[in-house]
Amino acid sequence: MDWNPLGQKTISRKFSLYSPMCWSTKIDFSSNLTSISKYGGLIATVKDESQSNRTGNRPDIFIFNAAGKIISSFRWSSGILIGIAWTHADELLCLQDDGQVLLYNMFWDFQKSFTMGMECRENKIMEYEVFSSVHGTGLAVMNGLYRFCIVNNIEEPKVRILADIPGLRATPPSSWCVVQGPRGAKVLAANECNIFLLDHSGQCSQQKPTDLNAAPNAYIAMATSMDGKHVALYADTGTIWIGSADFQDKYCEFNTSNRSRPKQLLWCSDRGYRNIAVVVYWPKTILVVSPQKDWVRFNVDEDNLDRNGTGSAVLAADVDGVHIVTSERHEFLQHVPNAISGIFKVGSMAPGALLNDAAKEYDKQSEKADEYLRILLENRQLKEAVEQCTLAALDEFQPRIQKTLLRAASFGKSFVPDIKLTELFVNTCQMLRVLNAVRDFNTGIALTAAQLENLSMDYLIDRLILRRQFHLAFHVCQYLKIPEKQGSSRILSHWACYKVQQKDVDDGKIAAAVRDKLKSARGVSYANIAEKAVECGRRDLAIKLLEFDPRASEQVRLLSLLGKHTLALEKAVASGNTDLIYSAIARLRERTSLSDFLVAIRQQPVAYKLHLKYCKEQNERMLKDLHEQEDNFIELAHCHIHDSFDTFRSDERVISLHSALDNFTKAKDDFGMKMTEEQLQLLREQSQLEQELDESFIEKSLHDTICSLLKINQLKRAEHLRKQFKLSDKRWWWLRITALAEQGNFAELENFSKSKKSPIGYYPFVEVCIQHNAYTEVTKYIGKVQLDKRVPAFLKIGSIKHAAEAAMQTKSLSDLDAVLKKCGAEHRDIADRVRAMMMQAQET
Amino acid sequence: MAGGDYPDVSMLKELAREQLTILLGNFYGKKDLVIDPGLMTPLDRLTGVQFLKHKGVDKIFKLEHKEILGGCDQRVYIVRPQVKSMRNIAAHIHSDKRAGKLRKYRILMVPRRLHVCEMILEQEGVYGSVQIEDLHIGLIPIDSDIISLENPQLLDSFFMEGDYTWLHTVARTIVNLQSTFGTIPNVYGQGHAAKIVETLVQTLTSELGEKKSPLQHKIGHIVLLDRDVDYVTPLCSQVTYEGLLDDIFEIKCGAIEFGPEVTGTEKVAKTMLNSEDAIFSQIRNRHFTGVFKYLSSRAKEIQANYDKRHNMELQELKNFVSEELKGLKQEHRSLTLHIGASEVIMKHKTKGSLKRGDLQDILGVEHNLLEGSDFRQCVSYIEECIHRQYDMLLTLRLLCLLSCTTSGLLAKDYQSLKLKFLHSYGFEHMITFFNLKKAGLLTEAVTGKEVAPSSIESNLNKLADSRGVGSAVSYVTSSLAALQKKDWFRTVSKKLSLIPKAGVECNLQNPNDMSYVFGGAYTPLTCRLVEQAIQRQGWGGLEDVLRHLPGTNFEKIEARSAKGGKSTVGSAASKVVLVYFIGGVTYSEIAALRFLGRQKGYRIIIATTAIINGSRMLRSFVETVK
Repeated sequence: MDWNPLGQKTISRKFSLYSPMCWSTKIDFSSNLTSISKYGGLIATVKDESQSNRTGNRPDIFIFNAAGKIISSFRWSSGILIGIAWTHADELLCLQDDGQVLLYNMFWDFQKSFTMGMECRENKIMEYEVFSSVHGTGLAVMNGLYRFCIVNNIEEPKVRILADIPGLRATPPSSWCVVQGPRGAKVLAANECNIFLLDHSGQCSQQKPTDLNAAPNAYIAMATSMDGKHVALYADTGTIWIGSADFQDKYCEFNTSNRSRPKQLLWCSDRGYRNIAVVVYWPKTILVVSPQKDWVRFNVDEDNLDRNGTGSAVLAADVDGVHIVTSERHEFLQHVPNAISGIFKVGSMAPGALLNDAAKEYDKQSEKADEYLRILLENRQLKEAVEQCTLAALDEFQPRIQKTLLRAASFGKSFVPDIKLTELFVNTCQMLRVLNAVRDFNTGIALTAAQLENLSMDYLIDRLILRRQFHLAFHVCQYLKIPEKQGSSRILSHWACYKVQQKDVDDGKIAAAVRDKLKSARGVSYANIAEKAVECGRRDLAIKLLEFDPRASEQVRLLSLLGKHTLALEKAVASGNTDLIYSAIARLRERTSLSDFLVAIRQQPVAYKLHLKYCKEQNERMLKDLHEQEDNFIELAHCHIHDSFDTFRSDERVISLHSALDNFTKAKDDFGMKMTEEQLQLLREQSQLEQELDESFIEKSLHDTICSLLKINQLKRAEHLRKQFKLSDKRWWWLRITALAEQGNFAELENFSKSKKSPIGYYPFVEVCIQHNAYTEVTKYIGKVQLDKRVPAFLKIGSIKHAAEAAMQTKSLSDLDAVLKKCGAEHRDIADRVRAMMMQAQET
Repeated sequence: MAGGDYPDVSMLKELAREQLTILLGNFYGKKDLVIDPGLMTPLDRLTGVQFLKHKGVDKIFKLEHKEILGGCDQRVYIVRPQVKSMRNIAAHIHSDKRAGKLRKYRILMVPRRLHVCEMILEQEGVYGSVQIEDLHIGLIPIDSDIISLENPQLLDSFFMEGDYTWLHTVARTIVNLQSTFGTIPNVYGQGHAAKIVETLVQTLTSELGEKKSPLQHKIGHIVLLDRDVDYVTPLCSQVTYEGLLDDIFEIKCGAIEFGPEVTGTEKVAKTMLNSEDAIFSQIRNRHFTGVFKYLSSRAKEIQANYDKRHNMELQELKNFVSEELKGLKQEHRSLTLHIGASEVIMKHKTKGSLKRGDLQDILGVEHNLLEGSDFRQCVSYIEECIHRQYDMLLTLRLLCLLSCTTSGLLAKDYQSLKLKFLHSYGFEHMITFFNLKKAGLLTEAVTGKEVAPSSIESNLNKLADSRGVGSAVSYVTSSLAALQKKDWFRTVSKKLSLIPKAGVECNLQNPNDMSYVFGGAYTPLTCRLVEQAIQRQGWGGLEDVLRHLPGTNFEKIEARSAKGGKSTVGSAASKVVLVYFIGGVTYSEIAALRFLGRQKGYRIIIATTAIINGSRMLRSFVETVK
């Protein structure tokens, strides 16, 4: 471990993340363009064409994980590549000298491209800087006119041209860098010893470092801190001026006594920017200078130092340190986190250190353990100590030390019952488990705990998905018990989306594989996967995948999109959601010819029925067409009958009925024909009657028509209808007697009763007389009525005496009882006789 | 058994109210409501005018085919998603536009919007002017044990037209019930619609992502029954008190309006009919013969209670006035109404009005039909009904009963009765007969000769070919169904002993059998099926009965523990049964199921798409002329 104190308080350390690297052949970074990503340390490298002689061979771009394990490699085939850089979304930005920017993911799937504008195309780009801003990733370039163009966010590539540097002669600016500002990025550029701040509104202001002692000829390097608040200027005198970004505060001026231009100048900070330092890299040497003018020098092992002395290491700032990648190893330079330094600083008396010692002694079964523990307990520092050990373990890279620290924390924890500590401890163990898993060289995500905290676990999982580490991502989600929808199901969906892109695998196999994996996952949208398949031009696969989606609405939507209207209809029908069926029908109707439509819909009885219903309400013409198509004459006939009642015009009515008749004929429905013919006949009769009698008959049933005729004493005409329609005698008698009774024509009623033997018996005569309160008439018929019906009739007309007599004859208990109930005081003798009869009846 | 364990269906009311609160609240400010006539009573049942006023509702209109004059600048339509309603709304908007009246419109569709409706609005050119939202009013609690969709449309749209739009709604309500009261472990069903619903429930649940209900389930069994499994029961005249009230006065959404003939005054009395009314809950399920006796004894009791006050000290009197009097008065009011109603019923029963015929005679005919005796006599009675132009629905009801109990009429009888019917009631009923034929209510039996065997075979093949939910509706024609199930009613009623043996008297006052709801003449088939299903915990052993019924049967039974013992879950829930009638249920069946529940110690909750009786059931098939 390489610990070096940087001033009184801080210590900086440089340690190996991965060593040796996984790559098989050594890579000469000195002649390569290289970029290392933040949050994970992806390495992309490509031979720098501008340095080497053009041989005609296009360069290969290699992408490695942080451990140097190759992820992918591709041959660059576009224009002249002058720079590559990782964006915040782990996409590789490739910049061509003509200002064309191409973005690829790490598997070389093209994502998007944009250009830096005409001026850059005509006056080739010379230098560039990629920066991360609040908006995302930004790009600044300097073209051949020494003019700067900036894109603040590559997601919305809007090119802004900055003000020119004043007084610039034919030489390029001696150095420049991007400064983050609240309203977009600006560029700080030095023309020899004059520094200018350029912004996109054409403003240009000269900046003078405060209290500068050295008098340089030129500034040959400069860098601003990631938060844009601090600036470091490297003068050709070997002096570094460190101060605030507005040049008002000078923190220090440090003489490196090295006049050569540093290979890289960058800022190293810790999380929260409490400790900052400037890192200067010359071949073989790294110098760390703090604003307090403290400094540390580290050596870099560069075995294949280039002949011309250019360094072969690549440095890249991350949020809490600096990645240093050489051909041999991947190292990390950072301020030692407080928790760790507190414990491991020589002679530290911090609570964490004591606890760590106590735990060690305890393991040795030494009584000193108790001693240390007592100190902590007396000072009430044990809780703090446990916290320190836990947090230190979190910030530590080596599992061995993590374990030691966690053991110490766990040891201390048993003396302080505190739920919060337990939580912290458990969470820390989980985090470490995940971190150690992703740091494994196979995955090679070199993430510190602080970075993970900034990034958040969700994003880490996203990155794993981006790297197609589905398996690991899946297990992380399960381990952390992340809800399925955001966790395992989402990952499986991504996996499936990736799977469907495998062009060489057969549709059926992919569908089966996807189904197999996703079977038990909940909340997976097969429709999304299918959509992905459609994007890849695999429509058949998409249809297969859709089979699995439980949401019929999605299936139908996508199938319609694919033009599979018939299948969409089938799915809609299977869903049982009629609404879906209707929309599928509507789309099918829009997109296909009528004949195809009819063929398709006939194969789906449910849809067909729905369509019929719709037509019934909406489009009767269509309804009839459909029935016609099906030779469904009975239905058609009924449609026409329906029509005949929809109109008030008798001619239309007759036409409709004739159509109905035709269809009954076609259907060989004799009864239907007969009925319809009768109705036509009735209509004829009725209209004739209307003409003759000045009364309305149409709309009436046959029965009602005759009834009306009888009421207006048109017996002849009624008789005529009776014959015409072969009315049964029973009906005729009913009609006659009700009409006569209603008219109060009881004399005629009596005559009618004697005209011949009544087919309906004589009780109806009694009934109608009672109904019209002609009680005296009742006696004329009652003799012809069956005995059992006489009692209620007599009672009804108030003839108790006759009722009693009738009841005596029937000897029915209920009849007798009914009579008895009606007997008043004046019928005492009758009542007595009835009672006697009842007694007698009961006995027998 | 503590009451708290039972599912409290009144929760559903709260859910509906909450939804309405949100939807109306989103539409800030004063607004008018325009309500589908069919939704008036259910909405009233759920909310009440006070509630609506509180949510900023100004005036309430009925949605009709005419303009609404006046009203404020915002208008909310609450409608069923029907073409006709959409056209009416569009007409309103157009007339407002012509008059230069600017208004904001919202349409709340119950229970959900349909694509067709949106299409209509688009065709009418008003789609842009309205905002459409779903108002998921599903099952409305009518009583503590009855929940109803109050959607009588389902009957004809499914059983006649094969449109299962509403089955989706039924399935959705079951899913909702399950999310409120826990997943119901045991499912039994009979019928086409029931099968579709069951499949839909599963689809919907899986679409929702199998959200495991955290609750212990409160309902142990669900029985799904199609109405067409048993058309016979609703076709019979009802003789329980509640059934008679429904037949004579028509109960709407658990409330009834008594006209002057009952109240004896000019006023119309509206009263709720539910278990909260102590007197009503005592008589509702009784056979009518027992009602009067109870009412009179009750009247005496109340009188006695009133009379108490004469011998009271001052303090006692104070207590009496403050505590008992109100209750007594309420009971008094309810007693008066029910006595009045009973008198009206008596009149109907004994005299028979000009157009209705004598109830005793009708009952006699019905009993004969159920028993399968004196067929000719029954036919001639029906002919008499036709000749005398009795109430058409009555005649039709008897005709359908005739057809249903004999598995379709012989062509000769069918044609002669139809001819007579058309002569009496008009030619438009050609369509009514056609509708009833499609629904399987009034059919013409086809003799073996007339149907070529090959056509049956092809139909059967078609049936076998078609898979999935959809095909279940692809009915074989009703004639074929009739052919397969010749005399099925006779067979089924024998096997399930629906018709008591001759000579066995049913005690109507203290019944010992469900058949009391039809005066001991008939046990409703549906209720017997429910009884068998929960007793046998499935359909096992009933195959040769179910074979005769329309549709398929299915069961899904919760896995039991290996020992074959009772399931470990709460035994209270295993005694709770939800019976879902797809197509409607009658009060007689409700009474029978209540009896069954009491008898066997089950808590039976009845869910239905609507509460029907014979007339209401048939009315939906009758063709009306403009």
